Amino acid sequence: MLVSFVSTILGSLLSVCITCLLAFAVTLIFRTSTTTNFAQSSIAAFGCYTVAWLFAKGLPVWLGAPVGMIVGAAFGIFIDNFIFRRGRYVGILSKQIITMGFVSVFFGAIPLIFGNPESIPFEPLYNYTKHGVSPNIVIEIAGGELVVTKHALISATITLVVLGAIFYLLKNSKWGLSVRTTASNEQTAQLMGINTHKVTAISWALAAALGVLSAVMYAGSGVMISATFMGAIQVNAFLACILGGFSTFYGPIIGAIIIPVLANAVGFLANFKGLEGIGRWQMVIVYSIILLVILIKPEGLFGKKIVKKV
Amino acid sequence: MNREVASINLQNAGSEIIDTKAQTEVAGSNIIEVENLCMYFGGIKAVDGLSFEVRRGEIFGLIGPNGAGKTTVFNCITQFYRPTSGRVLYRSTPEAEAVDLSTVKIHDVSTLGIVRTFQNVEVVPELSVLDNLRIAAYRSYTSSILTQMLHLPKLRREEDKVTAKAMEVLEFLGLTLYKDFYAHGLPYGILKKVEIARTLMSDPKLIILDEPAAGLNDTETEELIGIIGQIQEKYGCTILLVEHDMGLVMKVCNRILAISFGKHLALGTPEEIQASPEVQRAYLGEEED
Amino acid sequence: MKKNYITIAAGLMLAALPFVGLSSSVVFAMGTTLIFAVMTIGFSFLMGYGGLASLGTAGFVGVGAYIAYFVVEVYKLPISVAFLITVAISLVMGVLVGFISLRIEGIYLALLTLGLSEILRNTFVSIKATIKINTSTLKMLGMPVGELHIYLLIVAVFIVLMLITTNLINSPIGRALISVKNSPSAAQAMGISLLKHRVLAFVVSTVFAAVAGLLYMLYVRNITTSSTQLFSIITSLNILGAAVIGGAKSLWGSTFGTFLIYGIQSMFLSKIKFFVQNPAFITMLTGVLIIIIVMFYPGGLAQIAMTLKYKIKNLSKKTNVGGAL
Repeated sequence: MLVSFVSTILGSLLSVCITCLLAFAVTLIFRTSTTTNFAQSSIAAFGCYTVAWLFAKGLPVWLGAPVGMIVGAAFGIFIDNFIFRRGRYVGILSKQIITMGFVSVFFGAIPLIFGNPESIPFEPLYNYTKHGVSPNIVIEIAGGELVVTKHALISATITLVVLGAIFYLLKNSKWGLSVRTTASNEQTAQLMGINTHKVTAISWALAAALGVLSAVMYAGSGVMISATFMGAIQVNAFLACILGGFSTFYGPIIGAIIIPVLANAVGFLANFKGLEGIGRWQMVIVYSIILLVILIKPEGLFGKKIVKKV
Repeated sequence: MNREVASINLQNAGSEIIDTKAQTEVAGSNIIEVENLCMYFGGIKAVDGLSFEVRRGEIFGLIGPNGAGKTTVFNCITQFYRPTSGRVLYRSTPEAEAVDLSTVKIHDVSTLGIVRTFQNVEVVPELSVLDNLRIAAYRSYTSSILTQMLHLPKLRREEDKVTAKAMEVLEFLGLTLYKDFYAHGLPYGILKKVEIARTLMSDPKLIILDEPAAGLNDTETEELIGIIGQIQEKYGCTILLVEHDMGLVMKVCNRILAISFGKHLALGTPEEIQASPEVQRAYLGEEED
Repeated sequence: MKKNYITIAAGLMLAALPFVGLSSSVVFAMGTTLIFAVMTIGFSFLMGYGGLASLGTAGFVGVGAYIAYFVVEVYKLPISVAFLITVAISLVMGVLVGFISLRIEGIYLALLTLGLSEILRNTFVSIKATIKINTSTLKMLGMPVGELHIYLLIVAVFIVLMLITTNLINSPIGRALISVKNSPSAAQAMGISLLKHRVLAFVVSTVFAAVAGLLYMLYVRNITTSSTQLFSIITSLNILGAAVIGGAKSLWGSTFGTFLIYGIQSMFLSKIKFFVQNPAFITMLTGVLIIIIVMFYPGGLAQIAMTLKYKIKNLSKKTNVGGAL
């Protein structure tokens, strides 16, 4: 039983990676541009389509992914540079609506540019079946089996390296310092001589690239790509951000780990007698738990309370 | 003399005193009694054991260097903050029972006759000056939601009454010209006056002005001094104000309380405050030698 | 009030549409657009006057649709009962969200309502993935009800809700809401309860959304929950977009915004071959339109219309003066 529980939890590894990357991207933009970027998932989908298109032309996914990320980053810089910088005095809500406008733009642009095929061929970063290797790693422990897909393991490694490097830089580099300063107060940062323009541009580029990376990992697991296929992940990422609290960079990451793990843990309950039907209610239960936590701690698990001044 | 003894007793003995009938009459002449008020934000003691009382009908000034906790005191009176300890007692009329303001909900404070203005003007920019005044009379409407949804005649009658009152207040403050102007884009001096006009819409007993002269030029400040005096005369209410413009404070206030770092520094008439060595020290700093 | 007469006249014109020889597909498109307009009115009240952003519209639409299905199709009860139950349940939900809005504000609140909407959508899928109402079971006052009757019902509901909301906005409550939006502290100091007014704003928007869902179910009669966009964030975002494009402070403006997003496509562009082959082009244009309007005309189309009106007025004044000289 325990082994099968651990195995179920391990099954959420890929979701954890994807959600973490997207949640970090959302946080980065929220902190530097004070808006939630609803277009995050659409940019990611667009990047993923680019990778798929290159794949159809014969470029392997692991080579196409960086290209897709660059395309995503270019969109990020474009949005920041031409839209957000121009409308600097646009309110927070209006900024959100602008990103929402981009959701529509991408929803429209994707079928126009890439056509609307029923299913787009895609493969994991490393295609095991093609190379004649089993896609799973099976470990036998205490009379049970732990099963992990190799795709999830590779994704986890990449996520760890990428996020690890970013967090190290956030803490120790000059760039990290300028991001943190901009995040806490953009005007002060400008007065201190930080080029906040550059900071937000890099943040948007990085966030968009991470989104594409997460989309490529998700698509590699065999789900069907569409303009909306990252939508559910984005909802999870948003909820992870408020669960962990926007005020730190690590809070949303922890939130992004909790949500998929919790989902699989709830799903595991189906193994018990009388709870077989719980799978259908899995996400309802998970979301309800999260909402309850947020209601009790509105500033998030790791957030700081801000006292309003009158 | 008798009164002063009573107030000293109040500070020392706290709550029991107001229960005895003899003192009630004396205490009744105070509209606000602040007893040992403390407001801590984490480790910062914004207000630290402050006690004072405001007499009915007077203009009472609260002064102090930046960060002395003046606005915090106001916020504790109007229930924007819940004090860490201590209490604020309020009597709307000399005969009324004393109300512990901490038992009153923040949006019910105004129904007791306590109204305030804000440091940075909080006028609704997207409504006309007249509508801004009508908002301030919100609690005088008795129309139910249904009446308002259907715009029944009862609402019309109430609107007419409130509008008439608003016009009267506007006339009094010389704002009639601006009644249909959107607040957005009006000069700062006018907005300050609109905010004061708003306080007059709900039959105030105590008006709390948070830095009424901030951002005004000399002529406007002169005008404001006149207005404050007229309000006290016409509406017979008590005025409590925080102000940095010493000229204004010394001219209009009957009594002044100086505080520093949330603590009582000096209390007295403008002349007494001006002569007080403690106040001079707080404003100008300790002398080195 | 003059405004109310204009609204009633507009209602009569909308009701006359099926009788002036318009094709049934155009009337049907108008009907669905009006249903979305009901959502937008409620949302505009919440955003333009309450200053609160919600991404939960879609979930509440689903509540109405499911109640309609269960009451009318499963339990064979009259439509009026479905109406009452829908209003009652969505009212309770609105009160709940209103309470939540006191604790959580701004973007956090928007994301939280998004979570709530996802909970509802997942619940619907778990309860029943496809809901369908048979034409024969639809009855009002014992009479069989057809598509035309439902269209007239939609127009009536739209106009009544429009009138009620307009009146509310021009009442003390409407002004109180605006003051809460601009400065919660100042509003409280003037005796306005935050809780009461936030609850009211949310109740209006949830009830309107749920009623719209009910009408949609009665009109379209067939919804596949697992695949439809209706209950997903897309609808919530579209309604938000419609309110912004039209101008959230103007109810007719946001109705026009709804028409741009939902109506034009189904009524006119679907007749043009290019757009039939490339429906994505319209989605993209809508997006571009939203971005341009938000960036340059924060008051939406209503603001543009006002500016134009003002300019024309000034122009005629000038010519008058010129004539006098």
